[in-house]
Amino acid sequence: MDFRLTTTDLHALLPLVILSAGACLVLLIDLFLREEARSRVLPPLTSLILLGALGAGIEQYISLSPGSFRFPSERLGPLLTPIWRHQVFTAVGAILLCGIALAVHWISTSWLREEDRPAYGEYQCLLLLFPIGTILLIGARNLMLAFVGLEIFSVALYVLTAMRRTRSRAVEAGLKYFLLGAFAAAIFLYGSALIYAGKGTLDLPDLGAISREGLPAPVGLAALGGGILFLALFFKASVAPFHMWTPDVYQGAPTPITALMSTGTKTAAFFLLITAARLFPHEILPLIPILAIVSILVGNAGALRQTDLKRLLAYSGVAHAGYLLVAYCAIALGQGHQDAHTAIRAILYYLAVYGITNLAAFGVLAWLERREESVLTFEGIRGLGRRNPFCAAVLALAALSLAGIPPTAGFWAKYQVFAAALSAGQTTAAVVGILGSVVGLYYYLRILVALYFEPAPEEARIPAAGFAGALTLGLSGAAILLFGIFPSLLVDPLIHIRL
Amino acid sequence: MALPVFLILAAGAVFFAANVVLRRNPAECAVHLVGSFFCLAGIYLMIGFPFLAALQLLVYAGAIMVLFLFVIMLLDLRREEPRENPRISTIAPLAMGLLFGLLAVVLPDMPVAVATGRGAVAGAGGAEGGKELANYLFGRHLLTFEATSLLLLAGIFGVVVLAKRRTSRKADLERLLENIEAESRTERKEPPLVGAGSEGVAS
Repeated sequence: MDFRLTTTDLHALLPLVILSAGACLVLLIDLFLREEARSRVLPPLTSLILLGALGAGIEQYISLSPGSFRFPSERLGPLLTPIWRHQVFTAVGAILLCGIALAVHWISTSWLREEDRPAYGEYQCLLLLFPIGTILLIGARNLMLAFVGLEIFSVALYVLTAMRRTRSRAVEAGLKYFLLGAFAAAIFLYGSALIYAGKGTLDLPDLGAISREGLPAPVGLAALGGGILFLALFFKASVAPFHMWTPDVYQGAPTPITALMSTGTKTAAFFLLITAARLFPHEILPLIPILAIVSILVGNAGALRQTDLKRLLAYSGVAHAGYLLVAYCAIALGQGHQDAHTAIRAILYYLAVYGITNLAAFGVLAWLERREESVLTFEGIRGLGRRNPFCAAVLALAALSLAGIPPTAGFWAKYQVFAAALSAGQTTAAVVGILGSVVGLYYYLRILVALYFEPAPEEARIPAAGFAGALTLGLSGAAILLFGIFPSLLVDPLIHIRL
Repeated sequence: MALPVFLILAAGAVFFAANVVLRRNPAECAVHLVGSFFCLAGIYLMIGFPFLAALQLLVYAGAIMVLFLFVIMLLDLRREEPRENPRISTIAPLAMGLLFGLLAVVLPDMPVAVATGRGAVAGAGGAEGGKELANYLFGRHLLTFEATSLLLLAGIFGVVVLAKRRTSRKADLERLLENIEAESRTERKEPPLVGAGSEGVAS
């Protein structure tokens, strides 16, 4: 057996190498710094590492796109070929997740400073471990590697959730998330074991095969295992009825971490849902539209009754998982190449837009919340349009984009998802999705009303945001508008996703 | 001949594993875990993986269990009061029992690929087992192997972050209790688990 790593192998793993070396570096440097020095050294270092990984991802994307100069050739060596997916698909995932981690890092710098004893080293090392796990999950060609990736980012999230140990909500959320997450991981493993028993391999089939051969039926044990495996993935993507943990955990976790959870975890879970699509048992394929419809109904109905904004966004996240599943129906149930192709692109587009939008929304909440520890309700954002026009504008844009109203990117995301489902013949799911987003208008517009049409309370005080936090909010707000007016900016790069 | 032995070993593995969860004394749990490992090793031996069976005994039943026991002895554990949670204690076992009962009915009819030699490490039996296993682990799964080290780092690091005393454990607990009281004053909500912060994670 040939054990050599080639240069292409290293090129393929570059974002991972940068991130893991960076995580260890942050951990080591943290040991030797005094309390004051940490706040000056560690955040810029983390930004640098994440920017490096993001750059590596973009470089991979460019060199993998057709027509580029390939150095020396983009074929992996014998060691990585069976286990790693060196494709535009992985590069897009790496870019998305490094971008999300970077934005979360920037949102949390000013937020961390307000803590009693900011734990810079710990926080940032765990923040760097998150994209490592998710990128492993996305690039894996083998369920074993995917599981290790899943566990890495889950463990990082459990700890980040419960890090504020003196807050009862954080401890409660951490414990709930840990117990349920560990259970889901066990289910994932059990499903993998059954798949191995049935098929004799843990390899994930090639993406291209989905479109060439459609979904062949895994039989017997492998089908059973596939079904069980998907339960765990639906849990991670908070698809109803596996969403029970979402509101409590979103509410209890520190707000930047909630942003990470709602965007990063969902992105990773849907990437694996796409690559594992052929493991789904044929007999219960009709369940996917049903799950999509249930998620949309449960998410929207739940969000209607919330007064706490983090819980509201949690339920809206369940509804959005439902919209994503509507497009996923087209992969699972559609016929042939074209359907799967369109649907995968629609899902990736949606994930990118949803990520940007949710980061903007949670970024504003993290900014407003800070210190005062109070739960952030509609009360807290009343009259924000006058008190802090910038914050209010970003939150308003995010709400409009989540609702899917035209000049924002959210509209095109929803449009593509429903168009993909309709062209694959999934009319029922698409219609329920459209109706669901009309219901969703109510609670998103409630945010707008509170922002601009209600008087501000007297004593309200807005803390000053750091430069990085404001920059993130400004960038994501601008991106929501930009991709809304010129959707091709985001559609065109996704065309190179090869099947 | 093989079937009864397998059934005994499998039943033993499940019995011991269940006891790991059900026993209240952590040291007892650890000993039951050893029992479960032994049964698993027996099953590996039966399906022709002597090398794996030896590893299972040496590494898990030997090294790792000793480590577990050390940690349990070093932690200052108090006797745990039996807690009552009637809803969970009736519904959950029933649901799990149903699920596994269903599996027990469905599973035996299904063809198994590993036993028929289609498995990827099917050749790992016999005297050459070590070499095959090493090739598999450090060749094909080198990346997985390396990623596991990051997973372990994340796990260890996480425990340290959550269990570390920044001030003192007592002060931490007191602040947690204060926060809980303040919250239950402002809203009528069932207080969450007390003391789950430092101690729950450390054990």
